[in-house]
Amino acid sequence: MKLPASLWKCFACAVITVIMFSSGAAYGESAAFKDNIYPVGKLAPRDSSPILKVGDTAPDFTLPSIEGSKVSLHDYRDRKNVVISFVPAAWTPVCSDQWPGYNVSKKLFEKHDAILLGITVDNIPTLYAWTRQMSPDKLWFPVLSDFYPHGAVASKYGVLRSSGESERALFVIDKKGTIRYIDIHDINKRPRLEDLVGALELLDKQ
Amino acid sequence: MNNDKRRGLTLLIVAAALFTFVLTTHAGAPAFAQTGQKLYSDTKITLPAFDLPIPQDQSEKDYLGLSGKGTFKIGQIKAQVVIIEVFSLYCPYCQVQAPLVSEVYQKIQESPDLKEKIKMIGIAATNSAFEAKSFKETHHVPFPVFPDEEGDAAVALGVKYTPTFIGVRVDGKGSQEQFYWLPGVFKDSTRFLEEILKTSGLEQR
Repeated sequence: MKLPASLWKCFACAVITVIMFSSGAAYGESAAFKDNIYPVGKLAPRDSSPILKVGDTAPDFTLPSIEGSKVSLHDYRDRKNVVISFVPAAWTPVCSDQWPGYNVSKKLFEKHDAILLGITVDNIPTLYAWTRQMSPDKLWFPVLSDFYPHGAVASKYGVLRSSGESERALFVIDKKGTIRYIDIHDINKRPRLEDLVGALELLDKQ
Repeated sequence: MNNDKRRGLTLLIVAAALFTFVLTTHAGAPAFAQTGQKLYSDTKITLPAFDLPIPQDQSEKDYLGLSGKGTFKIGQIKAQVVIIEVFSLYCPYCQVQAPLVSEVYQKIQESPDLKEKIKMIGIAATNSAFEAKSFKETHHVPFPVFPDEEGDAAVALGVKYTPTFIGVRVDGKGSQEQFYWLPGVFKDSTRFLEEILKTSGLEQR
């Protein structure tokens, strides 16, 4: 049976509607951020060109933290391994639950003598308000603002997107300042904790 | 029937079928999930079916009254009531709520009457096995926890936010009736358990 063209069009529209409904489903998000998350929709997984590779010296930086102090990468040289977690922006999906997961996993970082530095391109007041939603106590790791000059550190690490947000990226840097692990992740997805822990375990082996 | 009428009728059928498809596949537990409110149900609402892996740990198998390998459904748990907590390692409220949820478990286990009637499980929405285990260990979760990495169970249940607590009446033979839905946290473990007892019918209202 040959269906009329108009019916096919109608059918196609209906199928597209169903797909949109299905893929737009938010589930399992934290109630802590209920109604406060800006729906960004699905974004291009990556929108930047990598400029660093494993084995490179990590570019140094100094950024203000929400505690009011300044934090530099070289503060940790010879003292701690460093995990840098770039997340795209405050009040967006995925990011809003990634750091709470790290916050509760402090022991996993400590086990590998690592500090976590959380960085976004947001300004300090926004980061302050946003991270206050994540925990009744303050987060155990420094939260740094790469707001001005805008995204300068994200840019140095090759993870600044054309929209001005950063990628969702993880860098593991050893005590000598050498990059040992890079995960420039699909911005729409949360990196699995075990992958990061696996990278930290490799640090111990050398 | 002329062509126009037939075309109209076909369109109507296709539209109705698609509408039904969206409702049944997407909405999960529509009456509960859409409102975001705590709800009880006196009418029979069947919990959407989904499979969980039978735990490998013998004490967890014994707790749930399961044996062998493969998968099981909530309705096969040996109990009268199952409390499901849908949570996530990445959910701040779940972290804060964890001690209170453990209190509920302790209160049930301390009661010779209730410990055989009420069982608890956790479903770790969008968490890997490692992430679910990490949450269980960090917060000393005393009941079995199941990773739901792809979010299949959460979608089937219609859970939008974590934590969500779901009360299910079961008979161990497959029947699974949802009677309680709490999207969000509770502040008092005694009161939460009382609500479960009353709304499940285990205790007269």
